[in-house]
Order: sequence, then C-alpha cells, then structure tokens
Amino acid sequence: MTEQQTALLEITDLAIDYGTTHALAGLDLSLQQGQLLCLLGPSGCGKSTLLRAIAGFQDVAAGRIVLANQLMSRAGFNMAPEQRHIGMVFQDNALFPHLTVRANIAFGLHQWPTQEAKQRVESLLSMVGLTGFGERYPYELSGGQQQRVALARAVAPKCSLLLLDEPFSGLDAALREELVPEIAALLKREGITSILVSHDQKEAFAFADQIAVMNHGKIEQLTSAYEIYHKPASRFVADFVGEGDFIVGQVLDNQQVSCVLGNITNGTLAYEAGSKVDVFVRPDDVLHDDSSSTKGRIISKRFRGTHFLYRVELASGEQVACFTDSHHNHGVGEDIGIKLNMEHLLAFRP
Amino acid sequence: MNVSQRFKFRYFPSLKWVALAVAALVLLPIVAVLQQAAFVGNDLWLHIWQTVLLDYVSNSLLLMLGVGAGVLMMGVPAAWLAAMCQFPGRRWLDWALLLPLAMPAYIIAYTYTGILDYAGPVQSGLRHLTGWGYGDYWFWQVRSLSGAMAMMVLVLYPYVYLTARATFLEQSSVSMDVARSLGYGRWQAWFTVAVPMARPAIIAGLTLALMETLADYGTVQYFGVTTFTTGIFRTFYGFGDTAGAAQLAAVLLLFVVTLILVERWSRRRQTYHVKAQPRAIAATIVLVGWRGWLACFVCLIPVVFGFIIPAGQLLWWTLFEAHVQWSSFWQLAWNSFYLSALAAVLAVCLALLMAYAKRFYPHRSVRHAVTLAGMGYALPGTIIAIGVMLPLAWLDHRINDAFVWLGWASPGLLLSGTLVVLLLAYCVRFLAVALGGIQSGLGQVSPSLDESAKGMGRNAWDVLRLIHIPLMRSSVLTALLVVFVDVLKELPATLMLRPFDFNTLAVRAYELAADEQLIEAAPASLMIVLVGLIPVLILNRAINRRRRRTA
Repeated sequence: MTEQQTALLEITDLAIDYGTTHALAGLDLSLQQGQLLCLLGPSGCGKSTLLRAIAGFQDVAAGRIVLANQLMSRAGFNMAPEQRHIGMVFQDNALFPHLTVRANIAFGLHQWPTQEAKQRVESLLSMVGLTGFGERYPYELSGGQQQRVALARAVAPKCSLLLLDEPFSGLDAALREELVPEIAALLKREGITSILVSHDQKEAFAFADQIAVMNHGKIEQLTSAYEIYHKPASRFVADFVGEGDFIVGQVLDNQQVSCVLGNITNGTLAYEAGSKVDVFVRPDDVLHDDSSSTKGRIISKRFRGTHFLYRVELASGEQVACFTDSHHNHGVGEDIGIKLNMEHLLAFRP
Repeated sequence: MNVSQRFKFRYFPSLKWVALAVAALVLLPIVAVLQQAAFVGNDLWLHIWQTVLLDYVSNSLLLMLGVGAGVLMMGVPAAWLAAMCQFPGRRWLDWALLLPLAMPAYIIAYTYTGILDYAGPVQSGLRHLTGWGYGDYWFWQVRSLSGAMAMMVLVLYPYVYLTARATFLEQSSVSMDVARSLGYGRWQAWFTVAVPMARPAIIAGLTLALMETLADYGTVQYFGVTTFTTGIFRTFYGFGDTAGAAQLAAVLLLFVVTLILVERWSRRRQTYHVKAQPRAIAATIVLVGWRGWLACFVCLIPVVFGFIIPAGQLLWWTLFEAHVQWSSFWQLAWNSFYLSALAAVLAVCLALLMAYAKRFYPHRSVRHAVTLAGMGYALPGTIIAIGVMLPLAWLDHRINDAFVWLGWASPGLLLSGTLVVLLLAYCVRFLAVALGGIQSGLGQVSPSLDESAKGMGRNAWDVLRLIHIPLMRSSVLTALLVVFVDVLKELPATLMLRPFDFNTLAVRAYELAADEQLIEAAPASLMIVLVGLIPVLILNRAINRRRRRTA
C-alpha cells in the first residue's frame, strides 16, 4: 500500500447503533482501487452490518463513509442505495425468480440504451461462463451458476465497488472450493474492487488480498492472509484463524520464553522479563520426535489421510495438538516424544 | 429385510383402492350433472338459452368483475401495509383484518339490509335529522347487484389479504435491496419487484374469492340478483326440472373449471420460485404523522365495515330486539352441531385415509386421486346438491323396486331423503379443507422418523401409536374444527338436501330473512359468526407462529 495513492473507499471512525447496543464503534478502514478485501469474523461481529452501511441500507451513528472522494454516509446523512453505484451480491443470491437469467442481469441496466444493454448482458454472460443460458430461469440453474448470475447482475451497471454478503455460504464445500478462487480471479482480472463478508477463513484465504478480522464491532487486524495466520495481532485473531492452543509461558528476556515444551527463542517480545504470557502453539509447531525428552500422552487422535492429528496432554496438564505424518500410528493413552519447532513466537498477555 | 417388509403396511393393500374410491365420490356429482345435462331435449335447452341464460351469465360475470376488483383494492394495499410498514395500530389490525372471514356473505347481506333499508336505523336517522319523508331523497338500494358486490367484497377480501401478505413477508427485504443496489428508487423497486413477485399469490387469492362468489346463493337470492345459483335452485325446486337445473349447473361448472385452471396456472409459476430465506427482519417502513394515520385508516375500513358494524348490529338485535324462543333455538343449534360434527368426523376420516394412502403408495394414480379429491371445494354447493341428489335418488328407486318385487313394504327414500345425502354432499365439498390440513400435518412427520422407529424394531402399529398420533393430533383437531365451521355456515346444499322438517341455524336465518324478519334472524346469525371466529383465531395463531420462526 502506497500512502500517496488515495483510497477508493475510506471509512473513518464509524459507529453504528442498534437501539442502545453498539454494532460498530470507532471503525477505520481504507481500500485501494482493485483490491479484494475480506471481512472475516464470527457471527455477530458486525461484518454484515458494516457491509450494509457501505451499501446504504444502514444509517450510521457517527463517523463517515467516503467512496471515490464522495461522501456516502455520516450521522444524519445517508445517500440512498440506488445513488451509490455499489453492486451487491446477497447471501441467498436473491435472483428474481420470475425473470430469466438475461432479464436478471439486465435489471440494473434500465437506464442504458437498449443496444448497449444487450451487448453488456452478452459480454457479462460470457464473462461468467454462462453464454447460452440467457433464456433460462433461475430455478433451472445449479447453485454455482445462480451465484455467477447474481455476480453478473451486481456488476452489470459498472459499479465502482462490489459487496459480497456471504455469497458462498449456501453452496456445498466442494463447489465452494472451486468457485471462490474462480470468482476471485475473475474480479481481479476485471479490476473490480470488492469486499467479501465471510465467517470461513478458508474462503477468506482463497479470495482476498487483504483480510480484516472483525470482533465485537471492531477490526482487530487488517493485513494479508499470510500475516494474519502467522503474525496475528491479538489473541482473538490467533484463536479465530486456524487451529491452536494456548499454553502458559514465562518471559526470560526480550527474545526468550520458557514453557513446558522448552525454551522458545525466535521472536521479539514487548513483555518485561519475568511476566507470564500465553504462548500460542499451532499443530504444525509441534513435531513428533521419539528421541525427544519431552513427553506427552495421547488423549485423542484423528486420521486425516496424509497425517494424524493427535491431541496430547503435557506434563503440566495443558493440551496441544500435534500433526504427524500418517505412518506414525500411535494408540490413545500412549506417551510419545514431542518437540517444539516454532518459526514465529506468538505470545499474548493472559 | 424382515423389518422393512413388515413396515410397508402390507396389511392394507386396499388403502390404495380406498383412495381411488374417495376420489370417485368427489367426481360423482360432476359426472351425474354432466350425464343428466347431456341427455336432455334440445328444445328445453333452447328455452333456457332464450329466456334466462344471458341474464345468468351477465350477472355472474358482472358480479365476478365487481368482487374481483373490490377484493384486490381492499386486500392488496392492506396486505402490503400490514406486512411491510409500521403505523399506529398495525399489530392489532394485522389480525383484525382476518375477522370478516367469520362472516358468511348471506349473513352480512341480511344485516346490512336491516341497517340500510327504509326502516333501518340509517335512513330513519336521516329522515329524523332532515325531516324528509318517503320519496324525498335518493338512497343507495343495498338489495341490488352493486349491493351484492359490496357484501361479497367485505367478506371475501381476506383471501387476497392472506395470500398477498404471506408473499410480501416472504419476499423479505432482500429483493427490494437488490433492486435498490441496482439503481432503483423505493417506489420504482416496489412496482418492478415486489408486486410482480407477489402476483401469482395474489391471483391465487383472487381465484379463491371468485370461486366463493360463484358459489354464493344466499346473498344473490336475497338481493334478487339472478345468477347461476339462483337459477339452478329455481329450476330445480320451483319447476321441478332436474334436467334444466343440471344444464345450468354444467354451464356454471365451465366457469369453475376456468377458475381452477387459472389458479393452477398461477401456482405453477410460484412453485418454481426459489425459496428465499427471509434473513434480516424485513426492514419495515416506519410511517409517521399523517401517513401513519392514513395507513391505519386504510386498514380500518375493511375491519369496521366487514366485521365490527355487522357483528355489532347482530349483537344489538339479539340482546335487545329479538324475541328468542330458546327451546326452538337450542333445537336448531343442536341440529347444526351434530350435523356439522358428523360431517367433520367423516370428512377428516376420509382425508386421513387419503393422506396415508398417498404416503404409503405414492403411485401416480393415488397422487391424482388426492389432487382430485381436493377439487371439491371449487364446486358450488348447488352443483354438488344436484350431483349427489340424482344418483342417490336413482339408488333409492332401485331399492324400492327391489322391495316391491320381494313383496315387502316400501322403505321410502332411504338415502336421498335422509341426512345421508347431506353428509355425502358436505364430504364432497369440504374434503379438500380437511385434506389440506391433514396433508400439511403429515408432511411434518418426516419419513425418516418412521424409518428410525423401524430401525429400533418397532412395528407399524407402534409407529402409528407413538409417533403419528401424537404428532398429528393438533392438525387433525384443526381440520375437524375448520370443516365443522364450514358445514355450519354452508347454506345452499343444506337448503336443497335437508330432510323434510329438518332445520339448522343457517337455514333458519335464511327463512326468517326471507320472511323479512331480519331481527329475528339475528340470534342464529350471531351464533354462526361466533363459531366462525374460532378457525380465524386458529389461523391467526398459526401465522404468528410461522412468523416467529422466520423472524
């Protein structure tokens, strides 16, 4: 992100209230032209509310939303959704059941000259790979095809920003795995700036350049998928994204922490020596090593084809998860040797 | 496998035949009417054609047109306001708008005649205030075609209101949101999205209202509007001309079939609709100030004129003006009660048989039979009356012949002259009502429940006893109640088929009104309305429960 570039979407100090409860408070967000952003968070974190506020369906209590240097919302002012030129794809795709695919896509082109609208619809149909499906009705399409029509419809009027409100949540896992990267690539190719709302980290990783992890109406961290996973900024982000366990550690100096699994050295710590921290341990940080003097007892195991996922109880009574390749077949109750192999030390104040 | 074989209800392979037989029963009156109409001399047909048919057709069409327009204008705006807006009194009006469902058209017609005719309180008050005398002023004649339209609109608009409101709620706000995100303003979105999407449901409600309009006898007869039903009645009783009546019935049947086709067609489009989950609580439009009061007023009109005024008048007459002979009144009430109860039990039993037949033999013939059995509701009572009377009278004659041949005394009209014929007619007409309730109840008992019980080694009787009966109890009770009330309100078939000297509340109200004793008719009418309120309250509760589940 270069600072000189002005952002396409600029949200500052946004607050939204539902009655007396705050759905969002003091939220800042900026998005560059052409970026794909994902708002990731558990249900009730305010991600959908934020999306609806950007679309104009939700009044804001404080702060402002600016799109392409034009004020969209502030307290007491809310530009009507139809004037914002923001496309939106809804969760249940919300295709108009009484209209054909073509009529659905052309729905937002009502102010275009007929001929141009026709051409636009055709090029959109081919863009989403549904050439020849124009005369069908939505119920005649599969779930994935419906979602692609919904996408084509949303971007038809050349919107400046596209919002996607959990559009993949109704699809089955296999289809989702296929469709999400496909749509991300399409949006990237067409240069359509987009915001996806999701509670599924896999979806977020497959889709977005930038991920904003939200919790309790705030953005906890906004960065790339890699950073989110490996350098979570908060305890919540670490816990929400990927698997892992917290175990108690003691800060030795500004680079070392000791815990039941041994000393961890790589990392820079902002905590003073002697204080207690919670160390975040992911399953791939714990290696199975028969020669290790650190032992743990297997409490449960899950076979995942390429590897086993063991849950292991440590001498301290704490538990961690451990991936081993699937040749290391041990029984529940067995003690196995484990050792820590951590690339990034993640420690949070308890 | 042993268990699964045992489970297939191999004990009752005849269930399938029972279902087909019941469907044949519903078909019987239609076949009888058409058969009778076909074997009739051309001169008689010519006579009907030349004299009355044009009148019947034009009056029936005009009535349908007026009632259709009226129920749309009353039902759709009220439905939209109640579903999508927030205004003073909305919560109360939301269910109060259903109240006129409890009011049969003929009863509201008698009541308004009493209120609005020359001697009624409105005109008397007017004369009192102005000092006018007879003939000095013009006043709307309620006993006219326009009056019949008004009466029917007031009690039939809830059909449109119900179906329209349901779709407006179901559409949720998402469709409107889509339109607005694509550059449509609020009103533009409403006309391009909300209304076209609701159209199939509105048409379905409209056809129901029009079927009731065609079936009505009490109102048009009392108002002196000659339509098919009055024509059939007069030809059948007045002239004793069965063939002529059957011919008229056959033409009326044509109208009914058209309506059924329109209704099917509109629903076909609807079934394709993707079920959108109403997620966000529909963003209600808050109407404040004069807009709110206007909305309240718009919704209040149908309630006031369709229920509060007529029910209040009936109550007043009953309490303060009618001379009720309680012993004969209770006799009437008892007659109505046991007749309705018998018919309800019979119809629900038949419906249960059919619903289970369809569940265990989802063969095409059985499914068609169930669909067919559901059609009886579209048939006007007059057609059904003739249609069941003809075959039963024929049977009676054969029975009598047999008795005479055997040298025994004639047993009289065993079937056509007793309650048997009446019960049969009710079953044909109201089986659909029972079937609807039972089928939706049975639909909630998922087949996997049966299978899991079967997996636990339970036999068919255990499944029935432990799973179906507890789960079906409330829908069976509701079906019983709804049929009960429908039979209680039914007029033309009862009038045509009742045994000699057998009276019900509805018939008594009709007779007294025909004698211009409107006030004396009030107690019986009020009783019918009050009982009619019960299913309306149940309906309202069911709607609220559904709404809570989706909210």
